[in-house]
Amino acid sequence: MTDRWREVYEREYPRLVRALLAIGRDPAAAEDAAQEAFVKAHRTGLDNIEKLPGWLLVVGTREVFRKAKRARREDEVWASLPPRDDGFDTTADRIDLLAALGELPNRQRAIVVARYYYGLSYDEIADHFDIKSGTVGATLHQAIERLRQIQLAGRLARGAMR
Amino acid sequence: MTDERRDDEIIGRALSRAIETIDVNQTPFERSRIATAPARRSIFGLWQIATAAAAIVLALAIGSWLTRSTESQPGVAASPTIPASATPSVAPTASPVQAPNVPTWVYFARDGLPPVGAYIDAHSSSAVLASAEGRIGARISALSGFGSGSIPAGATNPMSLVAKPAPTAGSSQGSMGVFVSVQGDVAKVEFDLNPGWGVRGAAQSQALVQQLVYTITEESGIRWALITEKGKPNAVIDQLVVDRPLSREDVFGYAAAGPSGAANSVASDGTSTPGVSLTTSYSVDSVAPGVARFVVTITGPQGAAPELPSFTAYLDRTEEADFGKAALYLQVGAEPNTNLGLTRVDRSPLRAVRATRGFGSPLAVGGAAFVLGLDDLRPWRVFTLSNPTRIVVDIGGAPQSVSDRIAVYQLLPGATGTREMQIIGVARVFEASVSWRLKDTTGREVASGHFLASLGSSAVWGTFDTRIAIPASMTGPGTLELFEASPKDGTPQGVVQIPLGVR
Repeated sequence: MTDRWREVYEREYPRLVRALLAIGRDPAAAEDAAQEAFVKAHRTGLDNIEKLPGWLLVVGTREVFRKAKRARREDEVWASLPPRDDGFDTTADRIDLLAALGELPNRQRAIVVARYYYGLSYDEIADHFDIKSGTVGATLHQAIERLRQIQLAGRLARGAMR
Repeated sequence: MTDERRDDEIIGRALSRAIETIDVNQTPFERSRIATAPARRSIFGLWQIATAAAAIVLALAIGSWLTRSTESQPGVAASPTIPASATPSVAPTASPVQAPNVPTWVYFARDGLPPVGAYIDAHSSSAVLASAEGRIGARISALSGFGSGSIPAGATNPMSLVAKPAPTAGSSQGSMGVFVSVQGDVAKVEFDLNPGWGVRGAAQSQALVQQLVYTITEESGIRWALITEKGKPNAVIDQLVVDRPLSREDVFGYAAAGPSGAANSVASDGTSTPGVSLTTSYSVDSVAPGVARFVVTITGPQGAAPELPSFTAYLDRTEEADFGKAALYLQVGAEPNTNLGLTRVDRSPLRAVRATRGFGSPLAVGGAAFVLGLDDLRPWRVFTLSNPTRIVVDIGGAPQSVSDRIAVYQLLPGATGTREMQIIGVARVFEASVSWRLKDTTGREVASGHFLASLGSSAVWGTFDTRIAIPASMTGPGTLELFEASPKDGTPQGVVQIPLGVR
């Protein structure tokens, strides 16, 4: 039994923590939520869960949001790092994208991560996140459009500062 | 697929790659909550359903502890020597009255970082909690029986392993008794164990000692913890021999404590601008694992960019309940604080922030002052940032990433990077020059160079954000060393060694 869990854990844990970090932006909360998701999965039993990765993501996401409500103190994750002067490159782009993701509303953030990082289908997303399957596509498009705008604004701001 | 959909997919994929590059802490399966959950949960379950009678048995089986009151023996308490043994009295937790839950501050161990504190419930009567010995015993007992909810993320509870039956011990029930006695600022804690400590290997043993020393010395007035086994002058935890009283600074993992005392204060000249306002913020584990950051942002009148005011900062020991064992005093030459008061943080190493008026001598700057309550005297640093004008105090960090003169916040130990690696941190080195060299697994130097921090040869630290190129010949694991080349002979000083992988 333990071996099966170990295999599942080692396969799914890093991806889950990354996704929860992208959704919640708090490393400690992401890890905590990922651990809690596994504890809940463990209690439920592997045989009772269909499509475990999506299940873990949804449970973990709920944990992250629940915790975020409790403590909104970490207001300066990156804000106070030394100012960057590395112009326009892929790292900065990546950081921009993640920062832009953080600007989205909770639900959109979770759905974007579920779709593009976890590769869940529209139907699976509708199922897990309890929304109408017809609205998944529109929500995603809206979220991506917003990401694009925020990212572009970031690039412009960086260009203007140089 | 429409153009719109394709564009969305492109951004989506870029985002996916960005998420994939996030460095995460990969708690190994052995330390995951599911690997440790069943044992812990069963104990917790018993606690929950325990009747008064069952509570007695359980307390004796897993967490009984006995204390000796020193109040009745003032002569002994004043003696500078540590008593050879403590005479136990009756275990107060074994009373048939259901003990109430009292939130109590204890510590958990972390891999590669100093212990992290948290409030958990102790099941103790007020009679027990009336004495220092009782409170220390209650904390240890609470850790031993701790089964519920959330251990802080990334942390472990080595005490939960103690006094469980060893796997080879068949059906025999493990037990633990704890005898606490206090002499001056030393708490002696004697363990009566059956079958033994229950921890394996150097990592677990050290984690247990760290957890115990921090938890025991949480008691006000206690600086040293002496851990012994019943009938012995010392404790042998797996291979680890503990034979002297230990302070937090003995076990926290840093090469040395941070500079402390008012004589070691960092002072910076500055300009006092009338009408500036100060705002503060803090974070823990956000800048880098284990780093507590406190930021004072200075805003000029009508939003004008103010000049940097003068400031001083120093670290010192303190003894104030629930405020930690050390305090960092920061005083800013600006108009006095108007928002006075205490903000609780309770995230290691930062316990609380107190905003006060100036301290006066020896920091005769006047103006606004802040006291940060801290777990211990770990290394710290202060630097300034502009736009907006900020004074930043950072405390701690991963011991591997921190020396007395360099602290690295990005490129975490164990990180895997590509040909070009970004390094962010702070340094206080001669002429701001930070040297680096990359070594492969055989210790051969494959690349080296140096870069400049924003400030050097100054009490205030400088920041750096640089990139280093890794030669194509290097792949796989290696070690990046950052150091100050001695101005005398070029020998490396204050070396930080970061293990990493190159792909």
